[in-house]
Amino acid sequence: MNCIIVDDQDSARLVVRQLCEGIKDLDIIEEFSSAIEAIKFLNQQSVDVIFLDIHMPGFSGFDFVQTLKSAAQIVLITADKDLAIEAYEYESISDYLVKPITQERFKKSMNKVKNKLHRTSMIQHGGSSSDLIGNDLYINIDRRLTKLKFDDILFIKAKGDYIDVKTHKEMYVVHSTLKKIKDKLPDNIFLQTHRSYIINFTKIIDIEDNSVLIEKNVIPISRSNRPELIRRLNLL
Amino acid sequence: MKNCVIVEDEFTAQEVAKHLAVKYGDLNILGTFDNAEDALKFINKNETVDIVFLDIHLPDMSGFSFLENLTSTPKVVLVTSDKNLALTAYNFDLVVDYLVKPLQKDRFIEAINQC
Amino acid sequence: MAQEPPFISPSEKTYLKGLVHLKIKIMSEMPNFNYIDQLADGDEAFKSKLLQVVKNEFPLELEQYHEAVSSSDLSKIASVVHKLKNKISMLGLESSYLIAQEYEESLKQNKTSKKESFEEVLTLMTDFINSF
Repeated sequence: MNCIIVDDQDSARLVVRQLCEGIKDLDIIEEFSSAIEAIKFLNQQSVDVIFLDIHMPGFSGFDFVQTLKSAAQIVLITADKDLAIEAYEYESISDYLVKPITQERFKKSMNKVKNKLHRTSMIQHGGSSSDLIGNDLYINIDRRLTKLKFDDILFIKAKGDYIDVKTHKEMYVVHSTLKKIKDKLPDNIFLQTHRSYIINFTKIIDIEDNSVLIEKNVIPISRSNRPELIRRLNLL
Repeated sequence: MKNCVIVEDEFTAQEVAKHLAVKYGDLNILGTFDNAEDALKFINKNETVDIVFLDIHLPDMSGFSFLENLTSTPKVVLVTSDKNLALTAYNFDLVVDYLVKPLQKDRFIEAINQC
Repeated sequence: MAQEPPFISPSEKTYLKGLVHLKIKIMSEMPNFNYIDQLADGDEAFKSKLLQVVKNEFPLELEQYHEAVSSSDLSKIASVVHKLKNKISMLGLESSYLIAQEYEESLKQNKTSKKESFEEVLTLMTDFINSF
């Protein structure tokens, strides 16, 4: 597992470095004293974990988290006790540690992060784009082309400048917009059910008024997309 | 279909959670409890519980004490009127989300998707 | 300090009958079904069931509140106020929710600020809940 540390205070970064020393298989790739430098780095390279101080001069904490173009898990490290409730609103934030942090609490945090990493099986990326060749979709991950059969794709979820492509076993994070990938997907199999979701229609297990079930995933249906879904169902 | 249990002592809140769980979460409700002790007895014997919707303010113990006494390992979504306990919630590995009452549809779906 | 009649619409008047004019000045919001309707999203069976549960449960909590007040156990009162907060926000009463929050906080610090305002909220809710 690799990580970066983002904190404007030298002493704070030193403490996190020290805590990381106590964890097996955790490598610190870089340290940053500003958010901007960190972002530049993350645009070029992917990491598993970002240790982030939410209070840094001239930078808007949670906005940074929101617009982060990275699939990394974020562990907030802060002196502020009161932002935990807001932190829960962000899927990418896996833990919230209040300074001073004990080695024990840090270990617990890293176990949580490790488990989450294995669960979602995310493949880190540095590349972009996807291509349609025959009945398959090719996505570019770490400068390698990975082939995905349409039949393997369960659904696709928009996440800012990225999309999550979910297959039965994996979750691929791809640099693309939902719109771009929609053009590459066959209309008879894929359907957009919501501003942020495209589903493989053939994988629907169950349907409710406002959502569909695809394997174990609940995908919302927005009112504007409902008629099209119903039309497709009637065609079955 | 995933299985869930609701632990909440306000019956109105129970109804809301049940409605959201079934209608939008596509979940199967195995049980609804208004106190921690009965809920623990059930969940600790039942490995098939995938998700627990847990209120923090229960009559017999806090939701956190409940978690300390939980021997099974379902995913836990905390549901509470208290905005101040999120920091404590982060200390518990089973907790995947923290929802403030009254429950909202979209936010509820997001929480289930974390499970 | 009486509220002048022209500021109260006929429907508000009917709804608020029995309340003193002073309450009308303080309460700028009315209980409503906005949250419940959005939650039900057309499911009338669910809406009826939910309202029935609220109608049954609220009087019990109201009683618990008054018992706690008689006992003068501030932490007990805080506990009931905490529970009542959910119904307050479910009935669309956003400012009243803040009043309840303030009252709950002050109780935890051994004070009772906003007690009267809170109890007026309870009256407002009682009347509304009795009407459905």
